[in-house]
Amino acid sequence: MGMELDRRRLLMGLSALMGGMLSPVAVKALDTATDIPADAGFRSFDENEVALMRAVIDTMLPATETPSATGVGVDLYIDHMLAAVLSAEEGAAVKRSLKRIDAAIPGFVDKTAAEQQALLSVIDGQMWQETPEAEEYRAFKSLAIVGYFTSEIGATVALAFDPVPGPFHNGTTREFSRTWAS
Amino acid sequence: MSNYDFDIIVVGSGMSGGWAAKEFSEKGFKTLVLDRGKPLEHGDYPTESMPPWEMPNRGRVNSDEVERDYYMVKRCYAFSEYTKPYFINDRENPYEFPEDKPFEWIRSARVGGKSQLWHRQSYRWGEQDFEANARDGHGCDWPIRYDDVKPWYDYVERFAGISGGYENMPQLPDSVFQKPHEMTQLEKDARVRIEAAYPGRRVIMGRTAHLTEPTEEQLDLGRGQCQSRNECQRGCSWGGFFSSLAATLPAARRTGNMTLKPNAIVHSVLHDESTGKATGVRVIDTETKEASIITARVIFMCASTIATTQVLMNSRSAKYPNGIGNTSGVLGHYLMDHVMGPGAMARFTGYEGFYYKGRRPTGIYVPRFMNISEPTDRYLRGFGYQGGSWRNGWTDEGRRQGLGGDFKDAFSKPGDWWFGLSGFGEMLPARENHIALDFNRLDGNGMPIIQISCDVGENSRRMGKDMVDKAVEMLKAAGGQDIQFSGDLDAPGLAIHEVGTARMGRDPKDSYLNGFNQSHEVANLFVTDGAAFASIACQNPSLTFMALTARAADYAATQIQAGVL
Repeated sequence: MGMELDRRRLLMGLSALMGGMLSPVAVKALDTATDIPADAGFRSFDENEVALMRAVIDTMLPATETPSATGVGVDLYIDHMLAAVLSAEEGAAVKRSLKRIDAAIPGFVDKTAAEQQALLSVIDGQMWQETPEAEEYRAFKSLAIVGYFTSEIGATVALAFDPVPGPFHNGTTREFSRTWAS
Repeated sequence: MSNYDFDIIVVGSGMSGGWAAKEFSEKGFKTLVLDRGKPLEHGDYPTESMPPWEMPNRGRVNSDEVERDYYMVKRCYAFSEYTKPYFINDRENPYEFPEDKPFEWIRSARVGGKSQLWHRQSYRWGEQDFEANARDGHGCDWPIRYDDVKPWYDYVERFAGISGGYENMPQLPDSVFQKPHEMTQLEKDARVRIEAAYPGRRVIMGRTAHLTEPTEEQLDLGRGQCQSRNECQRGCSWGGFFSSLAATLPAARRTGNMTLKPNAIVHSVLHDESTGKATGVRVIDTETKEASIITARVIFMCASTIATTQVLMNSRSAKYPNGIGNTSGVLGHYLMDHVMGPGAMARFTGYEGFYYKGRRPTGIYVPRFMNISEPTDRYLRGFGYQGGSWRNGWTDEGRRQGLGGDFKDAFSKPGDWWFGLSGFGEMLPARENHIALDFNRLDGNGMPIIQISCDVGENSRRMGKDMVDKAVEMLKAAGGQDIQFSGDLDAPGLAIHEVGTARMGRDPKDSYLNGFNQSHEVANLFVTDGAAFASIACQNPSLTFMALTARAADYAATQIQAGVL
């Protein structure tokens, strides 16, 4: 749990930078980061698939100053996408991508975070050709990233969310240092 | 007037129908507005302001549902989980086209029509646009000129609210403006560099139907200043942009003279041979499928280009076996849309310290210069560009290589600056581009199936090549790098600027309407949506729909009061 504590400390630090007070969203980020249930009722993945999927998306998007992919519910988002949004073929492609990673890196789930990153980076580096495998990998990776930055924490903490900006105006990156969520 | 159910029937409640409703209601006429769409009340926009994490599918529509029900509207940039309720179900409302000539027809499903879904770009036509057909012989001469429409542009702009900058360009006359949106620093610099490299070409701020300085009249209607959310198609309960729901329909409603009937598809316009006039419409209730007849002194067709002509062609009688007022046989012909698709974009460095706040609901515009200040013999007419600059955010995720903590955190930092130009070209009017009806096959509402046959033509293809070349050379002149471009033409329809098929003209033998959008043959029948257009120009058409509708309504009212109609 040392990592969880680090994340909590970092989030507190981030909050301090942002004005010393925990915003409601930052509080939620802390809760989410530490309170993801082990079995949240997945509809599209079995237990082993969930473990692998979580390990892969958390390697792609690990905890930094902001929570990991699983920390903001990207695992649940991907499960929902397969259950309710993607076509059967699109869903099957997600599963094929995971199977290929499983086959290429046996025991991925049990490796250290550093090993996971090193090994998956090799695969990621090979996924820029126009092959079906590569396209499916990129679609899966996109799914994870979209899930992250459309989550509340992704959009409001990692990015800057501004529902009512007021009249458009120019500024500098000193004033607006984070990417707008939309 | 008591012999009629209503003084006026307006078919359609979108861009044109809303204006007809407002004008007639304010003039004191009992006005019935019929719309095939389901009801939609201004302010009742369920997905407005919804952050992505509160949307069940984060904005995405189920893939199977898209392929089954929205296979055409999915091509529209504005279609998403947020806006799905406002788009028509393609499967339930079929139309046809030859396999080698796709026509991508994008339709609304609700009251307010496409005024709720439009991109809000608002440009006057210039003198050259009304003269184009007469000059090169393609299409019939417009029976009107810029000076005929100018006061009506003034009139609708004051009410609608158009933001933009005064530029004093003859080919793109200034509107009555509220202040323009701001250019980014890159756009300001690109403007200087492009205009220096290519005298005669201009980079101006996009003109758009958003309130930047709302007037008393607009505030009284409950409208307010645009807040740069740029989520307009979900609905804007603040009325920051012009739609019939936010502006013209409320103006009509407050007179007490308007009746608005949703779920009411007009099947046909009825004609009395003894008087030579239209007597009313046959309406089908889209829920119960029951038919009824409603009578009126004057009929205004504003159902959108193709739908209006479908109704007119379906209005058959012994006198008019090919559709009401269609002795000439021109009805259904000369369908047009903008030449769209070609464009380019480039990456710019040197602006890393600049960013912006707000989702500006418009971009920049490059008014037409080909065959204005730069003649060519490769093609007739010309094109303009919509464009603008932006910093990449996180949505280029599919192109980012790598993974891990630094990879993830990089999304939080604003990305590269890009500047893009996207052409909108004038397609020539051609008789072979047409719609027909298959009377042997009816859709769920009992309407004959529409068959569309439309090809952009060789002139458009030659123009499309130039649209790419000129975009690339201007981006180079502006200092862009990594220029990416495409010359592929979209299928017609997708610009969602479809016009023609019941055109205005001087000669009843080859046009359907006169200079007041009035049927040559049936004096109390008017068409004031895009169907009336004799050419398409290269500017976005909605502002001209508004002006022609207000002008025709004023004319019809005068004729009624004079006892002629």
